[in-house]
Amino acid sequence: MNKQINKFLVDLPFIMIISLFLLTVMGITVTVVLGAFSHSWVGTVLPSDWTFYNIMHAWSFYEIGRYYIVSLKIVVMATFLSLVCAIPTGYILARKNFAIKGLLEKFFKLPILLPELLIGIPLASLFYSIGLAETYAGVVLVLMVIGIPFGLSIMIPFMEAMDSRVEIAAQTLGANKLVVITRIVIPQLIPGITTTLINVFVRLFANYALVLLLGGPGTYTLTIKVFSTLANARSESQGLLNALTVYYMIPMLGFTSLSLVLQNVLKKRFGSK
Amino acid sequence: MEQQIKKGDYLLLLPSAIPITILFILPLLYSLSLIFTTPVYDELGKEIYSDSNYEYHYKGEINRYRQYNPETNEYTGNDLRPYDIKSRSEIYKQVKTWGFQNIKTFFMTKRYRVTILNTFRLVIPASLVQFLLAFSMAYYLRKKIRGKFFLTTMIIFPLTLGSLIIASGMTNLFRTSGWFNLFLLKVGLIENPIVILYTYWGTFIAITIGGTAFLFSGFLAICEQFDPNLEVAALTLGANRFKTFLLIFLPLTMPSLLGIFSLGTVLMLGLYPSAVLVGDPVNTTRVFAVAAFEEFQQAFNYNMAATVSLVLTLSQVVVLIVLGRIRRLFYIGFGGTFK
Repeated sequence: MNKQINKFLVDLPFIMIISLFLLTVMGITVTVVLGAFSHSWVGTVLPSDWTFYNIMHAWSFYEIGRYYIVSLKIVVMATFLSLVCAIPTGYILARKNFAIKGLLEKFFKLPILLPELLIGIPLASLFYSIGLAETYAGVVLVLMVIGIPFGLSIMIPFMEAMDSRVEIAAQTLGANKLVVITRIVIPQLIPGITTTLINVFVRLFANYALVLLLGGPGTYTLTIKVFSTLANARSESQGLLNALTVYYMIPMLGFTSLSLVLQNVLKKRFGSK
Repeated sequence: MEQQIKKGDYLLLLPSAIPITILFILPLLYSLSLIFTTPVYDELGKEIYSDSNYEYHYKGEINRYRQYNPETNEYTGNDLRPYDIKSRSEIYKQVKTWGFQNIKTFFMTKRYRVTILNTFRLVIPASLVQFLLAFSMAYYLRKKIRGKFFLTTMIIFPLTLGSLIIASGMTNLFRTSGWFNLFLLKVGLIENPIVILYTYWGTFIAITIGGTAFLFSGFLAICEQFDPNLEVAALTLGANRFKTFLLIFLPLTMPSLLGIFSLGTVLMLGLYPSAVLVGDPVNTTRVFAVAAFEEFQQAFNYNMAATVSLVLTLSQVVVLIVLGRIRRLFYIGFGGTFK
């Protein structure tokens, strides 16, 4: 009995810290959603009256549909191009051994370690002088600076985990190079690439510094819209701002849960080490 | 199993190496040229333009740029409208000088200089609090306990939300009529609501939430990998739990923890949305990024904006060096399980 009390007393501070942190996190999320569905919410535990007005009005007031499409266009393109560039390089970095490998790995980490401002400001200044700024191409290009290194950093561990003896075994059993790539390498790569894809997508979707520096009214993503609206909010009601945040939260949560589900499915389908 | 590289394999490195070199290394070099050039202004504080033969000085009364011949030292009488000059930047270049003027300005002017102090005043306490929170949670959750998956997922959840949603949610939770103040008032801990939003503490809490989730996601793996046999060995030899933690667990995990900690701290130095949305970006949370964006978007002074981001980068390097030194004080070895 005494021992149990003792154990509880030792655990108590940990339990308190965890609950405090989780309560804050949940409070932040729940109040946004509650606030989005309420008219006025002052001084009570729960809002006094519920409404769909904010959610409906925010859609047209903030042109959410347009921003979804612009974000999708930019981020899908940037993610796709980043992966196309990163996959061959990641494969070599994970599999082959060569003199400048360590140096190259550090080089590819730099863009995600250094502040985005350091790259963004000179790039914006350059892009403005050659007319690339505020265009789709300009924003996609600048997002690739983050997309490629981030993709590499997620992809390489997956590729390192692949057993190259399987490929050698296939070759000794008579498979040619093409068969090895299509039947052995690519199926093994699918889980890693899917995970990378979703993570890069979410990261680029949430990027604010580079898009804010390089983008223009026609190429601002939803992230920028949310940021600038929240930063300059004067007359909008809290409920409307919450509705905007909810619209921003939906794709973020959607893609993250997709990544969790896919990871589980792919693990079962292809197996993992 | 690693293989030796063949010649053709180097080609496969190019798809990443070329874009990164063009879009990252070249801008960095260009950034240096931005930092070390300053626009030249005339006595009236107006910029001077030049094609390779003539200079153009602005004259306010007639709203024209007057063509000036530096060799003969006189105006030629050929005046141009401001639009003609500014719309043709390929011919008329702003006159700039090389030098350390921007860096001097940064350290001489108070509104730039305070960014260093403000950033570190936020980041140092916040990162220490994050470390304590994340480490104690990871230490407790390292063993298999009931509800572990749910708890760890929820602790990492703020990473998914991102700093914008955290800030937006905080404006609900921490406002004077929000749940936080409501609870404290009900319990009787305070008599008047505490103002947290749009002060130093708003930003402090926002970065602490995001940073703790980031550190925890790294710390948990480190704490899980720690070999429990080492703890058992210490316990059987007569150490109590606290002593085991202090003399066995902490020293062996510290180097890896500090590795993640320095990454988190370095990334935090560039904070921006939380400083603007829930902080007081004019006074106490005027951090590096706030000043840099202000120079870029409002003053159009790209040279100064680049200088601010250089100082930000240098502070990151300083933090990395200091934390690297601290890390070397610990034994760097293997405390993991041989599975």
